[in-house]
Amino acid sequence: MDIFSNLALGFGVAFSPENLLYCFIGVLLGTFIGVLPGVGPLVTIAVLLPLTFGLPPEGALIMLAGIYYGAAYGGSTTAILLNLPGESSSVVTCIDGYQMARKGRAGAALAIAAIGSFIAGCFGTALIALAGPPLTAIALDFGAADYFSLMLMAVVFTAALAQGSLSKSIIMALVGVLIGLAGTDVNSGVRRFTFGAYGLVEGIDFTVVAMGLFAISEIVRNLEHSGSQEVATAKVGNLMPSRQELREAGFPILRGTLVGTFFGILPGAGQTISSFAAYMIEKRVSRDPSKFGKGAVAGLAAPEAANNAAAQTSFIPTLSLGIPGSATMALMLGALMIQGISPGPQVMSQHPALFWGLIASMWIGNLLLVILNLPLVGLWVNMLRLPYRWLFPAILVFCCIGVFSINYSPLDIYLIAVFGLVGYVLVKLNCEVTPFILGFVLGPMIEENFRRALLLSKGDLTTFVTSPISAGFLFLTAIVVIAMIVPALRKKKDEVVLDGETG
Amino acid sequence: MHVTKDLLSGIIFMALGAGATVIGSSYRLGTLAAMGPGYFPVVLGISITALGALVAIRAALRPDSSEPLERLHLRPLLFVLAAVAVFGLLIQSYGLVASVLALVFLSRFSRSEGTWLELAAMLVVLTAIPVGVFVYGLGLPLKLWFF
Repeated sequence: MDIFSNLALGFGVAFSPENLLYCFIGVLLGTFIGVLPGVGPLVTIAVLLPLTFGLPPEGALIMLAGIYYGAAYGGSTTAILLNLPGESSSVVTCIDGYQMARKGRAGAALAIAAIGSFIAGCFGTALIALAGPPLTAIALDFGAADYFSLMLMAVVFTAALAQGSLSKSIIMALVGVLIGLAGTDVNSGVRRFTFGAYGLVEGIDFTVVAMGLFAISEIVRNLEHSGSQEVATAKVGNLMPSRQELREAGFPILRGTLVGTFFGILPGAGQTISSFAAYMIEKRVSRDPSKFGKGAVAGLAAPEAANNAAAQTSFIPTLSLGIPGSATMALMLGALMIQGISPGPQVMSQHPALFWGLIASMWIGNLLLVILNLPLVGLWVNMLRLPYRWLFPAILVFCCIGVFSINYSPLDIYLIAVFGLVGYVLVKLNCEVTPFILGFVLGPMIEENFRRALLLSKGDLTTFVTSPISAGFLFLTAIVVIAMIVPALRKKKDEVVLDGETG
Repeated sequence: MHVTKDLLSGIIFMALGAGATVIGSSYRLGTLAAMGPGYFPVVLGISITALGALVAIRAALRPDSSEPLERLHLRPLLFVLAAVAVFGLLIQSYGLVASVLALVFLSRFSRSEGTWLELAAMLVVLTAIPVGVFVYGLGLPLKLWFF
């Protein structure tokens, strides 16, 4: 199997008229919803997820991936035009992007963000195509102990990089694992934590948890800020960046791409860290750091490229190992499972059309994003003016119908209300929900591999350190935990993450 | 004593962990080499309780290390949750139209804004679009009316 025949297969799938259409619809709807104020990418995906249920697996995943980039790009648009970051990873975009917009270069800022994202997206996609197969080959040799340690590492990384206290984040991840166990135990057939409810026998659907924790609780939190805040939108102006702006953007885009690629592959590290790291690097290498924060092109181009490169490469652990590195990727995995495909290294060999088709469609999706968004910027700007009191009932309607259409069970609707309440309370208590959601998705797999590993070793716990792969993952996990306990380093992390919240 | 965010979350986690341990131990535990369905939940429950206690004790000893509790805004919380719950209550026997109308109507009261005319327009639009998209567009087998 060589990469060209694989890519040819992929492009064959992705260029089929239906899949092109799904990709187009995904990118369009993703941007459409993602650009709405107060609607982050996760909520966008959660709300649009039900639209993909009736599609074949390839189409569904291609459309979801389109929604994903569209939503991310929509987030950058609101960041540049309104100084409103839709998610933590576009916080940095606000800094210099909004300043450019205030100087009347909003159009150029949007164009540079789109170009930067496109270049980074192409690079990321190429890397997935190159790195996917060898990684998958390695992953096929993983034993149960190796898998357990890898998933433990993903969960701990996510908890460590979440905002706030490490111990609370780790508890959140453990609680996620616990709730993920609810339902019938595959090994013994015992029904655990179902409280007699028949609807819980098959466990709680991932979409239900995500909708409740993210969509419903986010709506409640947005409604707390009483009164509609009138937002002054900057004029978009000329879309074409000047030649000088393009020159200033060139190297930052390349550097940002590399930074983003690196952080995207690490489980749990994700986009926020990559966009901050890219910004810091630009500021350091810049000949005139004083321009940063006042509309420096490099300060916009590099984080946008990094953000998008990380968004692409975070598909690598998700697709080749079946382990999501972020809450968004967890949602994508959930979608894969709804389609009846169990994630893991076998996806590539069992569903080559799906795997390569998705990769090819990523490239097409990034291209569509550029073609679609530059002419439609005017429309997006108008959408930004929609008041939230019109938006949130619409989001609620789509969430409820979407969740109901998964199992046609009213219990799922009650559960999103319950998880909405839980999510709201947790946020009020400064408990991060991202580790929770990752724990929830990985929970059953963690237990399964833990049990199998100890069954094979006849109860010998050293099995986790005698396998070199497993020992390596545990070693990395330990380093991260120790690094987070050392006060100086923790302070540094909080600076980076907290800056983002207030920035 | 001063109740901070960390203290309260630590206590909640302890209760949750203890509950999971108790329920988990009602399933067969098994041994480390052949774990029953109760083993992993009990391990988790004990870990959550222990870490929760750690967070709570730290917060109790150093109250200034955590923020004080925030005021809860009950109105949006109650109306949004009630709207969702009523949707769930109505959807199976009364159909999509009635449940969407109820959902939009109730959620409206989570904030005192907008005119009645606006609400009427939203009721019409937000019923028509999902019916068009989900029932006619995607062909989902959803019951429209209560009959």
